Amino acid sequence: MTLSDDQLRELRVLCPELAVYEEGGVSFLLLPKLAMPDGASPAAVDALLCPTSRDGYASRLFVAERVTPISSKPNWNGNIRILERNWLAASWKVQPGLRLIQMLGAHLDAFR
Amino acid sequence: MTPFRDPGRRGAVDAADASEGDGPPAGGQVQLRLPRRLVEEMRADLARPHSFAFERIGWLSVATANRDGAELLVLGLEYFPVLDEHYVGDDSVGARIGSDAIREAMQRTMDLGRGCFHVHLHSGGGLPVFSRTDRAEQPRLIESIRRVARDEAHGMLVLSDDAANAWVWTPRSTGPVVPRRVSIVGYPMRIFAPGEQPGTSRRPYSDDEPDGRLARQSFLGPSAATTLNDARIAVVGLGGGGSHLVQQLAHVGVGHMRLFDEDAVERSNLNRLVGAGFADAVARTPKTVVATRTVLAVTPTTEVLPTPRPWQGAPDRLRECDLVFGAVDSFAARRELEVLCRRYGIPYIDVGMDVHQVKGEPPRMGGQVILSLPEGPCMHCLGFLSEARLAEEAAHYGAAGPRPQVVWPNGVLASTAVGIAIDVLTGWTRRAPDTVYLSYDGNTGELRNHVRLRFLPQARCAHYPRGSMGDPRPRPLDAGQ
Repeated sequence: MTLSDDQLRELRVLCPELAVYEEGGVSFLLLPKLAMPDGASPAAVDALLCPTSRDGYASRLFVAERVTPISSKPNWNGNIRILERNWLAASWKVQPGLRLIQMLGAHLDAFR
Repeated sequence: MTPFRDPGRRGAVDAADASEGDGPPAGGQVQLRLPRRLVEEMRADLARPHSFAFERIGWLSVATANRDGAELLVLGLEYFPVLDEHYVGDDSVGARIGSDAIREAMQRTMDLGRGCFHVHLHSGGGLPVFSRTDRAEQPRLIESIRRVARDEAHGMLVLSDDAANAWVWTPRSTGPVVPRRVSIVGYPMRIFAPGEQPGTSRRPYSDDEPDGRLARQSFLGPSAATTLNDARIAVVGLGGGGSHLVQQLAHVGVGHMRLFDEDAVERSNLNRLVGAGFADAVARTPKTVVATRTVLAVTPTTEVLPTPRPWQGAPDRLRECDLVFGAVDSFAARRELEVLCRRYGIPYIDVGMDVHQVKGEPPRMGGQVILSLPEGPCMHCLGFLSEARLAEEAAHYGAAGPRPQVVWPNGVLASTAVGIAIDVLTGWTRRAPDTVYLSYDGNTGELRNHVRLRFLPQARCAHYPRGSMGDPRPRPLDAGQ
């Protein structure tokens, strides 16, 4: 998947400090202090979006700390090392082929 | 600027000019790592004759990493020769470069946001030392370059035909230090310790082997004992495979080991965990304790640093190693280890086995030993790691149950892996492998080159380009992004 300018611009509105990294031939989008859905705790966490298939998921959102959702109860995978940081990820499937902004929104549904 | 030397004369430095009386302090908590291909590239360029200068100069761009660890890592990234027209005629020195060359180096340092080293070559063998003129003139140059990238390490590097030496200015330091270690990473590894404090007992077993312990392995080369004793090797996973690894590394005389495993001994480990006994299973002794005990029983002088928690909690301890073994039980864990090793320029050796049950057939036992050298093919290039394989593993996460493991294939694979490590560290076979991918058939006992080696792409590894070494850096985005 190519990270097109317009898709990155859309995402930057939501997360102005967005930065793109590469590791092992894979692109990751670092989303510092990403706002979580209203009612989830904490209200904002550093997050990392892998927009391409990863470990059987069409895309994946990693978060720097465990998020307590409003009502859902996701399964967590922990101790995932990417870009020299430790991350957690909810076991949450999102359909492929979405724009980045839609993809992020779908991942955040795990914490509603 | 480097001193005038008769170009016909051989030797790492003019003896009369080699006084070290005014050098920087030794023992700086710094490691300088240089990929072998990069060193060869630098040597080839610096050895080219110039129309009037007696020697050549270049610039090395470096990454500064492991800032929160015990040792700062300085990683060689890219070499930039000084252009022919930027040399200035001056018969009093080997080479003099003009202000254009210095301005260009400063501009590039600022643009890249990387550190910069002045590089030159002393033809001849042995550890080169900086001449009096080098020591007097290069620091002034480096101080100028530092002004444009204060948070990066900078320095001066001198290569010989088979070694390297450096002075390093760390971020915000007031002056240079001699790095504790300078290593050339590739086949064979070369580890130099120009910055060890004189008088420290870093070599309990010298090449003369006063106690004769290593006498039967002298065929590994005249400096093999020193190399192995200086080497800092990590083993991640101290179960069936890892326990064999640490035992053998102790026997061959590895001087510094960093051991990682968060688990404790269980009864079900006793069928394969070398060094563990019944009492360990009862007491649930940490596997790091068993491994440390095993090592020290063979070589009480080995420095062992056990980490009884996931390595992800102490990554600096891994980054500082010269070579890493992974004896872990998932593809995802292997991927993470290789990522770290590639990022910090460390050879990685993967060891693993598995038993597959196919309905109606006898169990199939298989395994692999892989050597992943920086700049060589990675485990993705080899097809050992793939998204399909990682996805399949993730789909079965938590549902696998106890996986079959036995002692003898672990022994075969770990022994093979140690043999590869000793070859990489000493170069005794002179095979110069770019990679190793051995496939083990446990049913027949055969260990052979994996068929995928025949179909490897000739291009360099695209997953881990040299420029990606060092701490993560964001990709520059266009203004429109």
